Amino acid sequence: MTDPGRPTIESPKPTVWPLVVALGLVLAGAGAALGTVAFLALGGVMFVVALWSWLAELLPGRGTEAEPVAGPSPAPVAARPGTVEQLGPGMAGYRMRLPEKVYPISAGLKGGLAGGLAMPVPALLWGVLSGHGLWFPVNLLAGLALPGIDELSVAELEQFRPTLFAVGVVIHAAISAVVGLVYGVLLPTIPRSPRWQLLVGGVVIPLIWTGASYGLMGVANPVLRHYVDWAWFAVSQFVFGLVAAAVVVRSEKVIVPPAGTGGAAPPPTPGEGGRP
Amino acid sequence: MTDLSPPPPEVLPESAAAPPDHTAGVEGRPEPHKAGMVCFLVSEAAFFSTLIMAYVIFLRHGSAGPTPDEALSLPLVLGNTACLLASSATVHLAERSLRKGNVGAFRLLWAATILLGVLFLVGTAVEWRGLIRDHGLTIGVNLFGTTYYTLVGFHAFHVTLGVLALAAVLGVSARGLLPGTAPLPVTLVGWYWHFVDVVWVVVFLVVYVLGR
Amino acid sequence: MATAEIEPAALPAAESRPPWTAVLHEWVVTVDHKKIGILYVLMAVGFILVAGAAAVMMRLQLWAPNLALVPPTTFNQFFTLHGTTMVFFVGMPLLIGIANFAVPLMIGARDMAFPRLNAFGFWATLFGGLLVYFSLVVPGGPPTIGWFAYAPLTENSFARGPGVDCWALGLIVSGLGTTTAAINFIVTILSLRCPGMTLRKVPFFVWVMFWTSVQILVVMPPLTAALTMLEFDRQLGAHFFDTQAGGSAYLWQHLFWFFGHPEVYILVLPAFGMISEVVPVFSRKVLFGYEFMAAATAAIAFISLGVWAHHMFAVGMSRALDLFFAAASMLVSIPTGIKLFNWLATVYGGKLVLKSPMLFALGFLSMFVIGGLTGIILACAPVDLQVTDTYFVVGHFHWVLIGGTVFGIFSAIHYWYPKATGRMLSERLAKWQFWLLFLGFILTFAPMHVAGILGMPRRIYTYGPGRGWELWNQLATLGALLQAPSYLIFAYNIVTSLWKGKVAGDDPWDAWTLEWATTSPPPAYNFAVVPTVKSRRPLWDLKHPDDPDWKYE
Repeated sequence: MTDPGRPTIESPKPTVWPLVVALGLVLAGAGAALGTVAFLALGGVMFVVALWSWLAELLPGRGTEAEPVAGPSPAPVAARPGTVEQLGPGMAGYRMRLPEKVYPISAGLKGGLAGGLAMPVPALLWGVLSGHGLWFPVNLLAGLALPGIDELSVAELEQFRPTLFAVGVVIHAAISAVVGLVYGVLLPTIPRSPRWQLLVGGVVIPLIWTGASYGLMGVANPVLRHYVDWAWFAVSQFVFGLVAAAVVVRSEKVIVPPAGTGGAAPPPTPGEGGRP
Repeated sequence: MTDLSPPPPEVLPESAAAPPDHTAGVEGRPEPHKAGMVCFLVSEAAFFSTLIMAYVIFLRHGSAGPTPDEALSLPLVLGNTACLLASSATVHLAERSLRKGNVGAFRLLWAATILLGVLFLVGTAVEWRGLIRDHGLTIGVNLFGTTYYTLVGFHAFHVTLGVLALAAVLGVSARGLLPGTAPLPVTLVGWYWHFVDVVWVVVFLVVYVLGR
Repeated sequence: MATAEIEPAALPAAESRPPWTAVLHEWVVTVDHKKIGILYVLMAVGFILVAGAAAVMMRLQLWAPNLALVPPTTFNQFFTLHGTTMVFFVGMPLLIGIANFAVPLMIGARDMAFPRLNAFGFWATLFGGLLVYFSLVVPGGPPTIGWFAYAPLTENSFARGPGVDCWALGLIVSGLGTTTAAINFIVTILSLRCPGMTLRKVPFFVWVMFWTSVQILVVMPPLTAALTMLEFDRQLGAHFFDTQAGGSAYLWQHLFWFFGHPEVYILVLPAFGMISEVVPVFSRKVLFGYEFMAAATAAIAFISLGVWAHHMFAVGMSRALDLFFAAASMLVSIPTGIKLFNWLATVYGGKLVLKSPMLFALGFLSMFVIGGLTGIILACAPVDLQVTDTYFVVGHFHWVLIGGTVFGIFSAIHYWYPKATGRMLSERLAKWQFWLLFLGFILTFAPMHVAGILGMPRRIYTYGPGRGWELWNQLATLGALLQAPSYLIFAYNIVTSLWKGKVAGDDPWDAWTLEWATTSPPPAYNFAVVPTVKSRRPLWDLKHPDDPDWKYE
C-alpha cells in the first residue's frame, strides 16, 4: 500500500456501514410510523446487511489501514523562561487575595467568647431597668429556636424557665463563637492600623448586624421583635463587637504558607500570582 | 486486563491477535472494549429498570381481563428459568475451557449455551401461545397484558440478540479466527449473556413470584 | 484517509483540490473524530436556523392580541418542533460534536475508542432528526404535543396522524446515537489518555464530558423505554399512557422528566467545561480550584438524578414528594455556586484578553447566574404553583439554555474554530454577533418573566387585549428580531472565514492543553508521536520550564 520506508500509523479505515445501519433504523422507523411494510422491510434488510458488514470489519486486520505520517509537523513549542509574572506584595490586586499574616483560628474563638461574656451585661441591665427582670431577655432569645414562645404571657416570660435558659445560652454561645470566627478571618483583611479594625469590628459590623436584625427579626423571632428595645439592642451589639474585636486585634498574627506549596516553607517570593 | 493490551502505534501488526486499534495503549488503563461493554450493560440496566418499574406500578391495576394469578403458571416458566440459569453455567465453563486451551470443549459448551437459549425462546413462545389461546391475554386486553408482554418480550428480544451473538462467535471460532485463550468476543458476549440471565432472574422474581 | 493514494507532497494548497464528489465521499464515510465532530456542529447549525425561524414566527404571532398570522395548530406544531429540535438536534449535537472534536485531542489520543460507533452516533442523530422533520409531509403534519409530549395528547385518540410516531421513533433512533456517543466518551476518557495523564490531570472539559456521558448513559435509556411504551400504545394497542383504559398520564410525566431534567444538566455541564477551558486561557491564569470544580461536577451529575419531579409540583403529588424535590433542586445550587465562584476567582487578578471566546464566556458568567437564580425561585414549590406553565418558566429556561449553553457553545466554537480549520474567525463579525445576541437575548427573555408573573400561560397561540401583556410580548418580539441576525452573522462567519480568515497557526491563543501542540487543522492521526504529560497544562510546562505546573499539582 505505502512505502515500506515511510512511517505509518495504524488507523481505522473509512467505512459507510455505520451510516447504513443508522439509515436502516430510520427507514424502518418511517415504515413503522406510516404503516408501510416496504419501508419497514427495506430498513430491516439494510440494518442487517450493514451490521453484518460492520462486524466483519472488526475481524483482525480488516478494518484498519496504514495512515502515512505526512503533512506539516507542528512547530515546536518555544520556551519563554522568565515570563511568568508572580503576584507579589505592592502589586495591584495582591493585598486583596490573601493577607500575608492572619490571626490564628483560636483568636476568633477567644474574641467571640469574650464578646459573648460581655454582651449579656447591657442586655440583662435592660431587663432589670425596663422592669421585666433578669430572665426576660434570655427567654426572648430562646424564641429564636423554640416554637410556642409567643403563646406565653409577659408575666410568664419574666420568670426563670430552665428549658428556655438552656436554649438561650446555647444560641448565645453558638452565635458568639461563629461571629467571633468571622471576626478572626475578616479583620486582618481590613487595611492599615488595628484602630481601623477596631472601628470595623466594634462599630460597623454591629451596625450592619442591628440593621439586618431590624429587618429580619419579624421572620426569625417575632416575640423578640415585639418586645425589643432597639437602642439597648444596638448597645449590646456594640459591646460585643468592641470586646470581640479588641481580643482578636490584640492576639499574635501568624504567617500562612500560600496555597499550592503543600504547607512547605514559604517560597522566596511571597506572591503566588499565576499559580493555583 | 493484561490479556490484550494494544500494540504501540508504530508497529503494524499483521498478526491476527492484535485488535484493530489505532490508539496508543497505556499500561494499567481499562481495556476499551471491556469498558465499553460495561457501559452498554449499564444503559441496558437503566432500560430494563424502567420497564420493570412500569410493570410494578401497573400491577393489580387491571380492570377487565385476566390477572397474573389466573394466567401465569409456574411449571413451564421454571423449566425456562432452569434453561437460562444452566446456560449461564455453560457459558462460564466454555470460557474456562478455552482459557485452559481446550478449544473442542469450548465449542461444545458454547453450542450448548446456544441450544439452551433457543430452548428458552421456544419455551417463551409456547407460554405466550397458551396465554393468548387459553386466557385471551394480548397486549391490548388490559394493563397486565400491556406490561407483561412489553417486559417479557423485551427480555426475550435480548435473549434472541444474545443467541445470534453467540452463534456469530461460534462461527468465527469455527473458522479459526479466534486466537488466544481469552479472545475479546468470547469475554464480551459472555458478559452480555450473564447480564441477560440476571435480568431474567429479576423479571422472574417480579413477574412470577412476587407479582402473582 | 480516502486521499491516502494521493501523494501528500503534491498537495500544495488550493490548486489541486480533489473534486467535490470525492470530498463529499470522504466526509460521508469518515470515522475520524474531528470530521465527525464538525459534521455534528454543521448539522446543529442547520437545525438551529430552522428551529430559530419557527421561534421568530411564534414571536411575530404574539406581537399583538388576536393576531392571525400563524393558525393555532401550526403554532402548536411550531413550538413542538422548536423545543424538540433545540434540545435534541441543536443542543446535544453541538455539545457532543465539539467534545468529539476536542476530547481526543485534549487527552493526546489518536481518535475516539470506537471510531465506527462514533460515526454511527452522528448518522443516527442526523437521520433521527430528519425522521422527526419527515412529519412535515405526513398526513396531519407534525405533532402538536410540546417537546415533553404529555400523555394522553400523544395517544391515538388525540393524535391521529403518524406525526407523533415520526417524532417518537426519530427520538428513539437519535437517542441510540446519543447513548453510543456517551459510551464512546466514557471509554475514550478512561482508556485512551496519553501516558502521564492521570484522571487528576485531564483538562477540565474532559472531566466534565465524562460526567455528562455518565448522565446520558443513565437517563437516555429510560427515555427510550418510555418512547417505546408510547409506540406500543400507538401501534400495538397497549395502554401504558392510555388514561381511558387505566393507563397513567402521571407515569409518562415521571418517566419523561426523569430523563428531561438531567437532560438540562447534560446540556449545560459541557458548557461549564468549555468555559473552564476558555476563562483561564483568556485570563492568563490557571483554573481556580480544579479539584473543587471536579467534585462539584460529580455532585451535580448525581443530584440531578433526583430532582426531576420539580417539573410536576402542579400535578398534585404528595406533600412529602413536593418537599423532597424542592429541597433536592435547591441543593444543586451549592455545587453550581462553587463553580461560579471558581470562575470568578480565575478571572480575578488576571490579565484579561477580551477576544471573542472570552466575550462569550463573560456573557455566560453574567447571564447564567440570573438563570440559576430564577431556577431557585421555581424550585420553591409554592412559588412554582403560582407560575407553573406561564411565561416565567419560558423565560427561566431560555435564560439558562441560551445564557448558559448557547453562550458556552459559541465561546467554544470561537475558541476551537482555528484548531479545526486552520483559520481565525473574523473578530469584527464575532463582536457584532455577541452584542446582538447578548442584547437581543435579554430583550427577548427578560420581559417573559414579567408576562409570566402577570399570568400569561405558555403555549397559547394568541391572547385577548387588556390583560397588560401587550408591552411585554412586543418587547420580546423585538428582542427576537434583534437576536435573529446574530445567528445569521455566525453562520456567515464560520463559512466565509474558511478562506477569508487569517491563518491561525498551531497555537493562536497561547493556550496550554494538548490540542494546541499539533497542527491546525490536525492530521488524521492527531499526533505523530503520542505526547507524555506531567501536569494539567502540558504546554505551560513547555513554555515556562522555569516555573512548570507539575511542581505544584
